[in-house]
Amino acid sequence: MKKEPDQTTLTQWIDGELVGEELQRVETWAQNHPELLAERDAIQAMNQSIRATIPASIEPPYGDFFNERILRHIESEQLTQAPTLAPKRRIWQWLMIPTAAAGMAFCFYVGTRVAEPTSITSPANIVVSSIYTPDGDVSADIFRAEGAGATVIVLKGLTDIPDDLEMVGNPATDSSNGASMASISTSY
Amino acid sequence: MSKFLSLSLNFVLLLAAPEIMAEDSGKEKVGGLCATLYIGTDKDVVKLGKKVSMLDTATEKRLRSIEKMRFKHYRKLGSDIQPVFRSYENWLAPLKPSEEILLSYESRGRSNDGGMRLDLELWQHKRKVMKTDPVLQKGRPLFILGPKWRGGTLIIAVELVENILSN
Repeated sequence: MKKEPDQTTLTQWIDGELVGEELQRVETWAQNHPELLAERDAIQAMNQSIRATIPASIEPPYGDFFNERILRHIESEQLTQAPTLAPKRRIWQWLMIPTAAAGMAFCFYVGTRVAEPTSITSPANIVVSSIYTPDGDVSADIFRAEGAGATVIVLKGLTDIPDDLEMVGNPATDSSNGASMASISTSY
Repeated sequence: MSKFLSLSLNFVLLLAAPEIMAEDSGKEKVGGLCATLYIGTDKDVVKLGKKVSMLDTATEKRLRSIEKMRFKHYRKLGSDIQPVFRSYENWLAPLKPSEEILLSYESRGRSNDGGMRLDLELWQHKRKVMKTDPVLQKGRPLFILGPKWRGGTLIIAVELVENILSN
């Protein structure tokens, strides 16, 4: 190639996007332009370094917990908005709700396919809006014990604590001054 | 002269350090949280050892009124009370010094009805087993029916004992 390639072709060559005959032509032309070869090598080395350092995609922590809270928020928004709609739109609203619910259920399933979702029985008076159990073998049920004035979470599937472990703690302590925050190692 | 200035500056900084640290409003106490660990069992309580203690009548009656927590015997294993900070995480270790059962929590502010929103996590054997976001009110505990031990089932009671945000 005797003629200088245009800027677009040069940019593609530097980014490593050229293939075949066109690549060969630019490579031949670039042999007489060592400054461009050096620039191409430097940019490609930098790109490789970036790819090695930053992963292509990052899974958000507690994705299913996050999805579940978004879904609940959307549902509560829809319930709030429903009475303000014009009468002509109400029939469409009725059709949209099951469609949206089905769509959300599908999205929720896709978002949580890595781990089985926790089964939650929501009481009428919600005190706990969501429960997330990272271990797929553990499930949680929640209910309100009106007689006891309490909310109850029942966890199933937890590992039993070994019987030989002594499980009695000290009497209650209150370190209410801010400086004495509990210092507990959580490393594995 | 410069040495004198340097020493003076250090002295001023030393005096001001507590004031600077006190400016972090996130460390301000906004409440108090109590975690009590009980065990309910239908088997012989002798298996639980001699260190367990009896429950007061009101607490036992309260637990017995919940169908899924109905056992022949109840005993108390431990308790811990810690402050709730405005925006910092804190931990409850009801079995202190054991870290077998831990609770981590962080305030999410006041709820519309004057309760306290929390992010609450239950840890068993240094593994996070549950994460939830309750709104706690004083006098209305959250009971968690947890793992089994020596034939009984652990009951973790989490209760707000002080709520400055409700004012």
